[in-house]
Amino acid sequence: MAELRRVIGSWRERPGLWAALALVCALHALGAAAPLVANDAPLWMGTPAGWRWPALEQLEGGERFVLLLAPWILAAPLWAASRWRARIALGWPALALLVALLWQLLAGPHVFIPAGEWKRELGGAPALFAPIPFGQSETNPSEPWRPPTWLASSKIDEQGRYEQRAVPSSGGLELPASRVEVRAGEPARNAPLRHALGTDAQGRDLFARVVWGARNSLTVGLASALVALVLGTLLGGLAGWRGGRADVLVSRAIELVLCFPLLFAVLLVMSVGGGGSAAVWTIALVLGLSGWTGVARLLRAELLRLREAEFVLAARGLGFSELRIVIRHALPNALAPLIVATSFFAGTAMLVESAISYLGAGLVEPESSLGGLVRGGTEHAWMVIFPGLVLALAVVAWNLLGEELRDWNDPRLRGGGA
Amino acid sequence: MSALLEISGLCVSHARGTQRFLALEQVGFALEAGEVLAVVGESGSGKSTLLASIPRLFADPESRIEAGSIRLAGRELAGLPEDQLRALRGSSIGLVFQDAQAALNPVLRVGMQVTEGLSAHAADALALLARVGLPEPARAAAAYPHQLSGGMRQRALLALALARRPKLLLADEPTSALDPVLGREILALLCGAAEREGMGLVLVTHEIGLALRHAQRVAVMYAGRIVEIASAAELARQPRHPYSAALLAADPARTRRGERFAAIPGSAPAAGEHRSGCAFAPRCARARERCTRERPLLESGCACFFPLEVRP
Repeated sequence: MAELRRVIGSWRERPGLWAALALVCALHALGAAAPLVANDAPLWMGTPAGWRWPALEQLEGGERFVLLLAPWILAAPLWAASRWRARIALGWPALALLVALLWQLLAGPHVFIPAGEWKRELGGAPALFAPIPFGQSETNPSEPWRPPTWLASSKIDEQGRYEQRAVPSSGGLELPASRVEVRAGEPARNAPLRHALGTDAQGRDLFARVVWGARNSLTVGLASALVALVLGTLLGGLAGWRGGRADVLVSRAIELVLCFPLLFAVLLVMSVGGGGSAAVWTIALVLGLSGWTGVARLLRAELLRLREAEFVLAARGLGFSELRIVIRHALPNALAPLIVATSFFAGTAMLVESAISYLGAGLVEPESSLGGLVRGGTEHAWMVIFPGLVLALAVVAWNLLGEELRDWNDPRLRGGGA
Repeated sequence: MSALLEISGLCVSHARGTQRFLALEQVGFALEAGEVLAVVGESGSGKSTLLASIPRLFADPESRIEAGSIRLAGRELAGLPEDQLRALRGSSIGLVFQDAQAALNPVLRVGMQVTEGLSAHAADALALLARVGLPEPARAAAAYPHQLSGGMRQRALLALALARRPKLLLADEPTSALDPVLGREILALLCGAAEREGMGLVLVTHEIGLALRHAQRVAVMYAGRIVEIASAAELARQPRHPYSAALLAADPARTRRGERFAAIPGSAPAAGEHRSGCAFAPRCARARERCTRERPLLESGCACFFPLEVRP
């Protein structure tokens, strides 16, 4: 309890930092836990033969690991302020990996059952569903383009006709109204939360698609930012600290990479091949491989300055090795631009991914991303607004986190401390 | 028994563009353990270069030792490979820098910096900080450098240099960033520590008054050479080189109230300026024809053809 009070105390010191961190972590935890948040397969069902966990059985190996990390991501703000962070930072992912491996061994390969089928097969057995009991690819043929169900205009009668007015026109392509099928575990036909964010052309629940889309978008942002950070730190560090020939080589490489417009580089790779189920990682990798230049340039400039700093000379005077001086004395002083560049890049990468998805070269259906949802939703306002809002929120959260982290890293701006 | 530090015939060159020029020429002196030697001179006289050449930590990586020998406790440093020299830095040779604000890492807590790289049993930050007279060492250890006052920072820097108990301490103008009262306090602390622990201390300063007060011996440098080296008492009583005499006369502390400072006419030669004869000759009132032709060498502590016998 004393530890908890301490943690809350440090949150009060810098509410901005903790709010930004909590927002980023909450979004990422939501993405990581998407299979438990929005799923047509029940989380648990009691068949006569015994209990089953369909939502979990459907996951592949990597997804299981990511899912196990979700609570850790959610608790990261707590962890960052706690005194035992090193232990938790290593311990929890290691444990998650171990459990994921065991799970893989014990549960075997994942079972694929077409979307919606679980609900039909349930046959009255007791089951527990996710908060959003719809899958990202589960269609509801009788509810295309249904507005958010908490709106009065969304009320449907027994025959599937809108009570207030005809469904907004989509060029006469809509099917004749038919009875709404309410499957096991789903809210009633006119329940306000049946489709809280509406549905798309195939009657797929937009909320579920936003959750799964955010998962892909956030993955692209985080993964490409990490690739950019690692690559940029290594190459920029080499150029800035070593100087000489290494500097010339890296600087020319940066200029060369900058010559390629980011968007076209990704489009090129996606069109050559690299789509399919691994498209998220292809996009993230390509974005990271072209995004490291920003980090590298900033770090190089910082290190050129720090190389001459007196405290670096002082560290040499104490007989420290070059590696130690770079890592412990120079890098921490160069972190500010690094943090800002990386977190901004995470936001930018998400936007570039939206642009690619908007152009139709991104993920393959039924996989989606926030940008892809915006593109697919040009017919109706709700289909653009909600994914767009989440995308904006994610980008703003990353940028905020970057700025707050930069301030926090600088003891001169931190205040207190002693 | 050889001296702790023996330097002889040391020549160091700096690079400027593609050309090189000598910043130190034929510098030599010896320092005993527990002794304090002050090196005084104007800016550009080579005193900082002299200090940097001992652990071979030049501000410009292009600088290099051209000739001469530097022996620390009998061990030759001038040709020592970099990794062996690095092992000596900190552990055998301690450095105290001029500007503690710049020499301390701004993002690390003071306590962490003091104990960095020390073995666990030696890493008692509080004891190390208390040793340099920091009040409230616990508070200082938890603070970042910018949170300490100038004097406390300088003490922390001193603690850093003393942490590994080096045999030789090199201090480059350790007080010029401080006010005079604090400066005297820090110097007393530095010299006290040197004496108590039997360390040799080379103190570089441009204030001859400080040098005379705190050092046992004083070396006066001009244009990359030692022009006079003598015990502090002797130098104060009877400087032999005209430049030492001029420096002493220009010391504000020795100027009586109402009198004008005795300024030295002219200015020091620019770095790399080629000179024949005595470098000080153009500014020297006693210079004769021989001074501009021939270069005087350091003989029995003075490099002058026409030394002063008594103070003018």
